[in-house]
Amino acid sequence: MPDPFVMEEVEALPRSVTIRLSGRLDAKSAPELTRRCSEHRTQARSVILNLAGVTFIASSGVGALLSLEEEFRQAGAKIRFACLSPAVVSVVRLLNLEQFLAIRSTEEEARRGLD
Amino acid sequence: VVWTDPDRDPKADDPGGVLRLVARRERDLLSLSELTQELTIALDPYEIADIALYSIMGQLGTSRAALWRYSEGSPRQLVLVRSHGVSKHVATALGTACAPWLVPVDPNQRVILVQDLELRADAASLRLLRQEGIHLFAPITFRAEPLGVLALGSRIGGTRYTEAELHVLVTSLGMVGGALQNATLYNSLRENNRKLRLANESLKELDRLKSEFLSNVNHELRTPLTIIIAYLSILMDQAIDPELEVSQLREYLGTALSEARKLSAMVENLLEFSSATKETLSLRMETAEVAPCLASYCADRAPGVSSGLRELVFIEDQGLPCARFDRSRLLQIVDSLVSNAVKFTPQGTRIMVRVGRYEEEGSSWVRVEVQDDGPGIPSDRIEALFGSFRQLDGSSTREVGGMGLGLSLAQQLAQMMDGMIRVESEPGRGSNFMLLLPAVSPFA
Repeated sequence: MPDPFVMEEVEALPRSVTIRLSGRLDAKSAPELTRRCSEHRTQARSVILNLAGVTFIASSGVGALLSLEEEFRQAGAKIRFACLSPAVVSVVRLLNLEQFLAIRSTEEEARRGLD
Repeated sequence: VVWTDPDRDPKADDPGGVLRLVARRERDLLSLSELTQELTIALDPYEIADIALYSIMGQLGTSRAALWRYSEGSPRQLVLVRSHGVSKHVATALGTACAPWLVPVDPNQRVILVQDLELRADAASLRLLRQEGIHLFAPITFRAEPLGVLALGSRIGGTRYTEAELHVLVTSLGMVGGALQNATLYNSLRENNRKLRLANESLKELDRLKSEFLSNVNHELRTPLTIIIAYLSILMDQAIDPELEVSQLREYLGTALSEARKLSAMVENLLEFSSATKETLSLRMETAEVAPCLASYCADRAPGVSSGLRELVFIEDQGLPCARFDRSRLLQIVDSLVSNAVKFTPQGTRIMVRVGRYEEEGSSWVRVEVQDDGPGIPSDRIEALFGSFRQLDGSSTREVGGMGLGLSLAQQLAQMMDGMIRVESEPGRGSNFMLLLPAVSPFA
């Protein structure tokens, strides 16, 4: 596997956490990501996903992002996506998902108003 | 229904639209190839459902999906495997509510739109489906055999799924059906293999026990015979010897007799064991107090035990109820427990026979304990105690004689009297064998 999937929690505040993702977001890594984010949600934390290191996003990765967005919305929690890598941007544009995912250009911007 | 979406089915004179469409088709192909790759290595139904749902959600741009499988038996129910964007609770309820009109699914029908269900579904289900934003159902099949159902939410942004997208969906579900079938086959093969391996192991164990038993029986039957023959030949040789003293003659005859009795008891045991296994052993049940007959047994048995340098003590609690039992079988069981205690403990051991009362989960028992303060039994061997033809030391060089039938027979006799034998033991802290007989209320 050329790009192993890695989740790195860089800033865990009481009310929010920033997770930096790198590698391939595919069918193998997607469930891992949903599980980790759901854990934070159940602890009433907002999640900021930094996608700068994502080298490839498969349809299952997109599915996971959509599922997370829905899950957080239903629970009245917030999930934001920051620093989209070119690989992610092209897919999100193609599927017209910009207006449905809370996308921010920097982590700083994404954190605004969450804590 | 014809779905049209200008952005997804562009006119030929719109170059931007055509490019987007090409990119979109390329994506579909990538998604399908990724799905195929992932499904071929997945063997767990939950993993397969995760892969399928995420992939389809990503392909079609929806945030809600759920997958159910059909239960075995009839009528077939929809059992939730996974849901995303729809809570587990709601998805389970949806499966139950929708099962009546989704089962049986027409295998030729590719998708069922919720909007077309007005006539088939009940009002409550329809309300639930609308509230959860479920847009369509699609069957998951393998060779026209229905395996499950997938539900999909509306597309984010509200545009409809195009014909081409539904084609991708159906193709994906075809692969999912194959993967689910593979997983089922693989798992049932593995389960069958496991069962076969277990059966094979127990056959091997049985075979080993049989050989061990044969060698034990051989040894146990031969020893007394050899002794009997030896003493009888001495007597034969010396019968003409006028010097032979009567006391010596008596001793020789006594030894031969006692060995003959051992032999006879052993044969008796063997025959009884085989008839108890066939459940033809007859019982003479009576309702009586247990303690008196055990008290006299212990009084008779104590000298024999103490000649082997072990002590036998009898204790009886007061106010005990009667029990239903066969007197001679009861004595046989207790004797077998006491003999074991004598056999398997060192000299100086104290063996206690205690009659008491025991209550458990509303049942009332008369309990006969045969307790010793000997070396005890390792916990991993206790279960094996009641197996036939077993002694903990299965080797031919073991120190203690016997065929290993006693406990197995005792347990069977106890069960025939609606009782049971339990054992508590800890290495270094002695053993306690408990015979429980159902107590009979004096008022009954």
